[in-house]
Amino acid sequence: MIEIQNLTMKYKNGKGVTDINLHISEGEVKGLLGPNGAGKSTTMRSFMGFLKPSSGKLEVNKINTLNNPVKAKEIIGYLPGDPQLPQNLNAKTLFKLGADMRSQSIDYAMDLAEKFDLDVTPTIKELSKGNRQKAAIILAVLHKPKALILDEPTSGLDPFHQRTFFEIVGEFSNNGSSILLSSHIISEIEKISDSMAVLKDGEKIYDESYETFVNNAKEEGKELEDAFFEFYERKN
Amino acid sequence: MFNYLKYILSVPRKFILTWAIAPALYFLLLPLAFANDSVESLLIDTQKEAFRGMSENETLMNFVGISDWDNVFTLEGMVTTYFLSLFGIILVAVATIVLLNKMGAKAEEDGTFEFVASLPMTRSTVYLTQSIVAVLFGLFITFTWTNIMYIPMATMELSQTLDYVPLMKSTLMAGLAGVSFGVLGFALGAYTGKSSYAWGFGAGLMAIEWISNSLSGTNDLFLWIDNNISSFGAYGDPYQEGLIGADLTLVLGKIVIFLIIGFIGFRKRSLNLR
Repeated sequence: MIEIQNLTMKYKNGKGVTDINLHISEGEVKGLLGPNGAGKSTTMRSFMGFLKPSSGKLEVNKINTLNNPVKAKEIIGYLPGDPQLPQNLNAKTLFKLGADMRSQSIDYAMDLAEKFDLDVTPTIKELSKGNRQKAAIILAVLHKPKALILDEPTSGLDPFHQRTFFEIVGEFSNNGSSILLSSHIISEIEKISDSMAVLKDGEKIYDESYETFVNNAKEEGKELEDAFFEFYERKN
Repeated sequence: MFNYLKYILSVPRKFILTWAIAPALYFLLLPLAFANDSVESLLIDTQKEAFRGMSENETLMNFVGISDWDNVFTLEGMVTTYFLSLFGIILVAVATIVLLNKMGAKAEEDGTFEFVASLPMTRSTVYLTQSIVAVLFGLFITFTWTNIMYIPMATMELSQTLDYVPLMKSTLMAGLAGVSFGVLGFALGAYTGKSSYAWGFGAGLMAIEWISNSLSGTNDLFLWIDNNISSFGAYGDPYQEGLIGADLTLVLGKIVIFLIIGFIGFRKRSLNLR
């Protein structure tokens, strides 16, 4: 279970997020939507303890991620929005190091590499953007976490491997993991999410089940994307 | 911590090997210049006479780390009061700042640190591991250099040679002096999350202490800095005089203070992620 209560985190330039509340139950996948600068990454990075929020209660399975980062990160898998990995190592070495640092075996990572058709022998520098993204996804989940924080996870993935990714997320969800997944586009959220929250200028403007939003759009006779953009523009 | 240490050493292993081996191979020239009397005469005596005019300018001599013109053209002088008292220290400082930036502030800026930050470690563990690497890496490369340089002294009949234990004492002092600058860079990088601060402070302090050392004969302030603060000043002449407690304490004290400053900043701030 992921719990974010009254999160406020401001940068020196005054931007950031204000009073964000999110609750993600076991097995729930919540999509976090918003354009660039809406506060998605700031919310996720604050939850991970990378940023120091001015207020807020951040918990995973009732473990405070700021006060007890080791226990919390043992059960969290995190994928950055723009994952940068050491360029001179190959994916297998990186998986081994990642697995060792989490006292895990590399087996699950290698299974996922096979699912993703990822060649683990070239160095990260030699991989395409999509393959680097696959390696980063595998690093984030190789310890089978109970909570997943995924910042724009399908960025750079081709449609075939996006499908593989959604299958993997589905498996984690079925096994009871809580998943927070950010995106710019509602059609991506549509494929996997049970609920969605929308951020605008650092504030949450929507947090309901995905179905509720779809039904509202249908009632208004609008396409999903159009309904979303209109909703977003209306909210000031 | 052990696994993070393994990660730190795996990622820049080429860098570490290059910095350990390349300068050592280059500076092998110093003992080999004393291979026999004719080589010594060709390489050393000619240079000594060609640059003799420089010996009349004390400030210029200090600037390039020479305290005794005649002595510097001996193997002992070249290695222990020229190479180790100036260039060795500068190289160690630069290498330490570069390496720890790769793991710290620069890694935050380029995003590679985000992976490390997501692992189940406290910031204290991360910082402590990096600190250990900062200190041991500087000492490791310095000892590698002088031990490689010692190989011809131990295996060939050179026209001049050095004793091993005093050479290692000089190596330790040079390594610690270099580490003191490198660690300041690392600590300020950790405090701010900005690699430019690592260079500004680490290289800045080194420049100030180098200039103070060069100008110590001309000004009381520089003399005071050289005697009481400077890691260059603390190096002294360990080959002849051995390790001096006060000098060791000064350099170790600086290292500890810088590390504590970095620790305080690194624990309380947000990461400088792009």
